[in-house]
Amino acid sequence: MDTVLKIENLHCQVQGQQILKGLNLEIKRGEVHAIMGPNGSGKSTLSSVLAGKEDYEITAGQILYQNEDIGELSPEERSWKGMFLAFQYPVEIPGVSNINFLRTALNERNKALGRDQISAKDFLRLVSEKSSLVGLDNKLKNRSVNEGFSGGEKKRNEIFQMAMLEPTLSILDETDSGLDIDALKIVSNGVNTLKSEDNATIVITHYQRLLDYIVPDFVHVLYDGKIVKSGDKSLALDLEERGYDWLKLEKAL
Amino acid sequence: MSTLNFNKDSFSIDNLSWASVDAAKLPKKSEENWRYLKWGKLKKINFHGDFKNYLSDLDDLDLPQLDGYTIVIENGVFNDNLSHIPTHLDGLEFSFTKNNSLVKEDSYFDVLNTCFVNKSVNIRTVANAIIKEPINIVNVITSSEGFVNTNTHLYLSTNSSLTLNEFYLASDKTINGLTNHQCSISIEKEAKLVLNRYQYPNHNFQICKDVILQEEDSYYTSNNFSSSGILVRNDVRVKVSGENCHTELNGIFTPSSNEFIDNHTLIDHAAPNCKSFENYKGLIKSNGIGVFNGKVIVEKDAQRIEAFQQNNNILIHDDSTVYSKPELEIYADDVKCSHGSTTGQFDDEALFYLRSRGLSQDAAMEYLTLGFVHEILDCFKNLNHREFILKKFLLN
Ligand SMILES: Nc1ncnc2c1ncn2[C@@H]1O[C@H](COP(=O)(O)OP(=O)(O)O)[C@@H](O)[C@H]1O
Ligand SMILES: [Mg+2]
Repeated sequence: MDTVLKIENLHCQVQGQQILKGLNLEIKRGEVHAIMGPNGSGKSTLSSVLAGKEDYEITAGQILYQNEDIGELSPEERSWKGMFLAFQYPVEIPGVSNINFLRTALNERNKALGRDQISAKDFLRLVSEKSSLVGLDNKLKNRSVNEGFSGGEKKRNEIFQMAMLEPTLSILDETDSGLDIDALKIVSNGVNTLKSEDNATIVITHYQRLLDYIVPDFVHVLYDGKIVKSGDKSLALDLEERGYDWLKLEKAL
Repeated sequence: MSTLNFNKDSFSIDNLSWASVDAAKLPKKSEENWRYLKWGKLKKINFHGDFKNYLSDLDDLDLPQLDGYTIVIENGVFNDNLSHIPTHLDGLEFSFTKNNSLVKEDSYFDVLNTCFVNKSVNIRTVANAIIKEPINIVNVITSSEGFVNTNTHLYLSTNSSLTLNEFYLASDKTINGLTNHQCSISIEKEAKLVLNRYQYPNHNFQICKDVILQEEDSYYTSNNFSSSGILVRNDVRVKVSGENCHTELNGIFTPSSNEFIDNHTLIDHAAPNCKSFENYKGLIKSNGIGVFNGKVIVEKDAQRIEAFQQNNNILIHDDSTVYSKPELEIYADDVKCSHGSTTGQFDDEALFYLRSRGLSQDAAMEYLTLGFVHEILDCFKNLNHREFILKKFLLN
């Protein structure tokens, strides 16, 4: 099986503060990896540095995506190569229609990859197919990006965009937070439908609940900028029972 | 103390006028209303007043498609050939004649305007006339280092309505020209005026002053778009003298490198039961300087006024500058007024969000720009014009 993502000894600094402190992770096609850990352990930092956020400085180690060191690539270049980050806090952008923005996103990628622009007809077909996947309200498609959306609607919109972009590597940063159980099922169902032998998914969460619906092949515990434990899905149940306090204890010992 | 420089022989004004011109002085930095303006670039130029008509085709100018009727004023003079306005239009009278300025002289540029203007554009609606077609005034300067003075009188009679689009621009190779414009507007009872103004004099200077008088039940909206110009100064003074009026001032200003755009507005509520709304947005590019100074006065007997004023600015670069000063002076006690001003940069997180979905840095910036100005952009009801200005501030 070929490797989609290989993170080696990753150290990352944000505004002079060392957040990631030697992180290793390998993900192959067709796999789902869950990353769990207490608040502040560095989960969102990891997703941001993977997606190429400026000011997130890699001070040691490297990120290989499909065997290429992507440390110097811009966020859009990473997106064009098939990476997607569903934000923990999707940003509201007033005055920019959701649907126009997505069409531009697709066409910017087509342009970068030397492909034809998508026709209006194909685009609309794609929109209706993909939005039904997460039950995104029709009204929301034409509204400004995330403006006035409820927490749940924002998360659905993230998965809708993911569906539109058909990424090779998806990173879902706490997509479950703010979702009630029905929405959680719908969103999980969307993610599962998009899963294939060719792509890979990282699910970041700190509740086990989501993993009942998106079943991971591997579970990792991120603590203080490092992966301190890896296992199969039973590790998540373990964590649910024991909480995270034992981590602090282990670290102290 | 200083004045502008003129090549006197090139102007055809009399000695008496020259005496007034020579006696007047440029505003000093110590005058609050002019404190941010630097006259250095203007003072270096030796302005002339020797104009011919140079334009042979409107297509040579950077204009959007113009619907309705068009009046072309080239270097301050009515260009009959390029204009398109019938002499007898139902409900509307247009003339280009000698006329005394109605604007009270209180600055150097007011004095110059009085002395140099020869003829004015006069537009008058007849009572009860609803003018469906918009009137476009294309005010173009076509001679480098030229000094152009223009004057417009707008008179809306009772219960009439009109939309006016004004374009201030320069022809392709014209640089360092100065246009000094005054506009007096009188809106009678129940009349309605929408004034859309598009300023992009590029490598030229512009000073612009509007004085508006509103009678009861009247409606006035101005939508102002100011982009490129070495120096652009706008003074808007609205006096609301009758009850139940609606006053709305919307603006976008976007100075680029080494450009200066200075907006001063005043809404004076002298009568009760009126509403006013002011919303200006500054998008300040690298090395550009913008000013917003907006004042609302509610006079003692003007009760039950609702006045809202807002100015938001985005500094595109660390070297962009804006001075924002919203002011409220309230002498009545039963009023609903608010004002606010914000200055910031585009949200990095929003930029990252858009780029993470595959938008290039430029495309993402365009979207954020659009998001920032859409509220004002939507005030320009003509879709062609809206497209036109959108392109302007994305490119500019
Ligand atoms: N932009 C930032 N500037 C400074 N510190 C940050 C920034 N983002 C995150 N941090 C810090 O990095 C640590 C990890 O945060 P984060 O990655 O958001 O954790 P998690 O997602 O696991 O809750 C925290 O201590 C947080 O305060
Ligand atoms: Mg987080």
